[in-house]
Amino acid sequence: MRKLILMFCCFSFFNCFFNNENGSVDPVFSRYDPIFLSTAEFENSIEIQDKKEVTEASKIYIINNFIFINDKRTGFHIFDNSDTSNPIKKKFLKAPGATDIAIRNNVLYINQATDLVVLTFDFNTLTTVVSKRLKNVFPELQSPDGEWFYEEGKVVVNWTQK
Amino acid sequence: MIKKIITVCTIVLCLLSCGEGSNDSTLNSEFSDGQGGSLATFSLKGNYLYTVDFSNLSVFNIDNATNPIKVNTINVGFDIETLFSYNDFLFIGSQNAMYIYDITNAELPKKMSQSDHFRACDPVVANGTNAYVTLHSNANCGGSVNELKTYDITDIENPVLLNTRGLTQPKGLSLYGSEYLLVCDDSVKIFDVTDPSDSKYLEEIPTVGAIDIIIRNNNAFIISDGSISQYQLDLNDISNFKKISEFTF
Repeated sequence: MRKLILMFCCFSFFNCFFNNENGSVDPVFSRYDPIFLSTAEFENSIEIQDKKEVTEASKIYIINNFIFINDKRTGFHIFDNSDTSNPIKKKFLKAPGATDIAIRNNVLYINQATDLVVLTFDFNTLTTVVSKRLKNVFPELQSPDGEWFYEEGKVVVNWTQK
Repeated sequence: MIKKIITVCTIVLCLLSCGEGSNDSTLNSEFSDGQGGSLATFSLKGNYLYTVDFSNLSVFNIDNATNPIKVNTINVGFDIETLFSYNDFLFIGSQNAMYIYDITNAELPKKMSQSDHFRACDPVVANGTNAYVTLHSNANCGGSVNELKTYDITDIENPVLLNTRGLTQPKGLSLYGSEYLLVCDDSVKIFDVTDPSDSKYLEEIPTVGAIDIIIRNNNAFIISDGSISQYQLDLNDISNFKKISEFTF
């Protein structure tokens, strides 16, 4: 009898485990909700858009006469700083999930959530093409209070407060 | 005689064109890198891109700039936030420690030391002799420390904490020459660090919500919650800074 109970207990434990593994969507304990894209959407999400409002200014990067300001986990505002007394906001480089950038000549390296993305950038026309994407070289984004979210075919690009 | 002249001319022409060719290639191999602030997690050095994420330091070979190859990943610790490079050293800031790695062997970073501190967010900057770490607390980082820590790193394997200075909520920071340290706090505070063991406050650049600062030549770029402001600095007269512009978001 005891053995039976023990086995039963084991099974129920396993059940819990499997339920979690199979992708319960809601990280119950987090004060944050994940924002995710399907892998296909994610991998086609980088583009140059018209300039837009800065929502959450984060990191700064400068190269030659340009300033890049990261809008946290959404992309980069591109400023033309040729006239330092009057920088001009030109474009927005949409890159959901990105926080950081490094630039060598006309090549941009971006951490887009789990991927390192390489862009070839034209500083005259402010246009760009994705040259390479190294998938899953960085860990999935964690919520600010340390929760993870994982579901097959989806990529977390941000977390918002509940 | 004419034959000789023609031969010489041909040789000279050949040499010239060779010269031009090699010039082109040197132009191509020279690169111009941008510059990030102290909160950056990417750093370009030689033919490599170094990155830190939540727990790892990764090395990407970028011999071919548009085709980076991941050549190493090292588990450093937890809650890693910033990466700063100086000469052959990488300074990594985590919520619990400052780590120093030697990258003399570019693809094989070697851990030299780890200086633990209380839990807080912490960017690092350094020069050949000293490292400066700011710790700040907020809802995400937790902790309750807001400090500027100065380390002597002459012995890179054994950093010595020289002093700790309590500030309001210090974030990004930058050295200006070897004499000055600018720290984003409730204003951008300028410290004289000629003698790092006896650093002195000199002057402030009034700002609101400054997050990070980049100094390139004599220009300071300050990113705040609501603006980018640019200042002209003067190494010979530090109190003589001039605001060039402020772009308000």
